[in-house]
Amino acid sequence: VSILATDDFAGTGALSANWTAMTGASFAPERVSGVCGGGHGSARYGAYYSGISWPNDQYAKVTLKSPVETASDNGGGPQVRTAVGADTSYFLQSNTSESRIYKGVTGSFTQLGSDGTAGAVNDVVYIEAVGTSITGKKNGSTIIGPVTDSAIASGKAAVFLTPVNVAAVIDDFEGGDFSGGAAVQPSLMLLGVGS
Amino acid sequence: VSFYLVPIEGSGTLADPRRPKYVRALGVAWLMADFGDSAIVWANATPTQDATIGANADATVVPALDSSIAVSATQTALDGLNIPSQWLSAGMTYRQVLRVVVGMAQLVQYVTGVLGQSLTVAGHLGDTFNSLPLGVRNALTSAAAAFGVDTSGLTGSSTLRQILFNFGQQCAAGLIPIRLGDL
Repeated sequence: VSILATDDFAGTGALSANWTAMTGASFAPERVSGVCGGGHGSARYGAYYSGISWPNDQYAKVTLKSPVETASDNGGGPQVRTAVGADTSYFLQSNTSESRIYKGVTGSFTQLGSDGTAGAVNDVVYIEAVGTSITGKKNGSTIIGPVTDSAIASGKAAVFLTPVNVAAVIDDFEGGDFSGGAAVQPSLMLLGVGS
Repeated sequence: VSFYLVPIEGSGTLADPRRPKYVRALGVAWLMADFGDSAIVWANATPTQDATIGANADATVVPALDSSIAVSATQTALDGLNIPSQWLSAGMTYRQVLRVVVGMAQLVQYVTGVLGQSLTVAGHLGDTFNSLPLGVRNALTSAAAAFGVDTSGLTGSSTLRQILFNFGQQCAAGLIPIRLGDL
C-alpha cells in the first residue's frame, strides 16, 4: 500500500487547489475550523482529489468527526473512482444509523450490499476498489463486501457529504494505491544496533 | 446462506437507490450483482426468510448451490429476468450457473458504466452484434480488451445472448474474480 495523497483540512475556507468539485454535487466541501464540512446547509457536497493522477486500483479513507450525521441514508465518507465530468463513483456513506456502499453511474445510484455498522466519532471509514472488487471497512475491519462490480474502471479518490445535520463533518482524508509492495521496515542496522 | 434472483427496485436517486427487491427488509447481511434491472443476491438468511422471499412471484430462491439444476425451472427463472438461459444443460450445478450469470452481469455493468446509461437487455438478447448501436458495440469491444476476453468464437452475427454467455463463461472460469458471498 502506498499513500498518494492526504489532507487534514487545516484552517477555514475553500479546499486547497488539489481538490475539484465533483459533478453531481451542489458544492465542494469546505474547511471548517480544521475539519471538512459543508457550508451551504443541507445539500450534496463532494470533491475529488485532482492534485495527482490516480491508478485504477485505489483506496480512500476519512475520519468521522463530531458531529456525525444522524439521519439514516445521509452522512459523509470516502469515495473512489470518481469520474471527471460525470456523477459516477463508488462511495461509502456513514451515519449513526448505518454505513452503506453505493455505486453511482451518471447519477443513478445502486446499493451494493447490506448496511454496515453505524459510524461514530473518530471512526475511520474506508473504501477500496481493486480490479472489480469493491470493499468497505471501518477502523480496519471489513463491514461491507468484497463484492464484484465492473461498472467503473477508473477515476479519482474523493470525499463527500450529504448532511441533514448541517454541522456534520469529516476529517483526515487519505488516498492511495496497492502498488507499494512490502512496507518499509525500520532498520536497526542504520542505528548501529546489531552490527 | 442463500442466493436469490430478484428484480431491482428503487428509482436510482440517493433517496431511493436501486436495490434488490424484498431483500433489504430481511435485515440480514447481503451483497448483490445487478444485471440490468435484475439482481443476483447473496444473503445470510434463514430457511424461514427464504420462504418469505420465495413467496413472491417475481423472486427465485436458488436451491443448494452444489446440487444439480432443474433445467426447465432454471430457464424459466432466468428468462423471467431477461438473463440468457440457452446454455443450461442437465448435470450443471446451481453454483456453476450462478457464476456464469454473475459473470454476464459484469459485462452488463461494464457497458452501462461506459455508456453512462443502462444497457437495455430485455427484448434485445437476439440482436446481433452488427445490429447493436455503435456505442454498445464500442463498449462491448472495449470490455473484451479491458478484461482480455477470448472472442474467437464470436462474429458480427453473434447475438447479444451469445456475447453475454461467452463473457460470463470466461468470468466463471476465472477471468474476473467473482466475489459474492461464498459463490
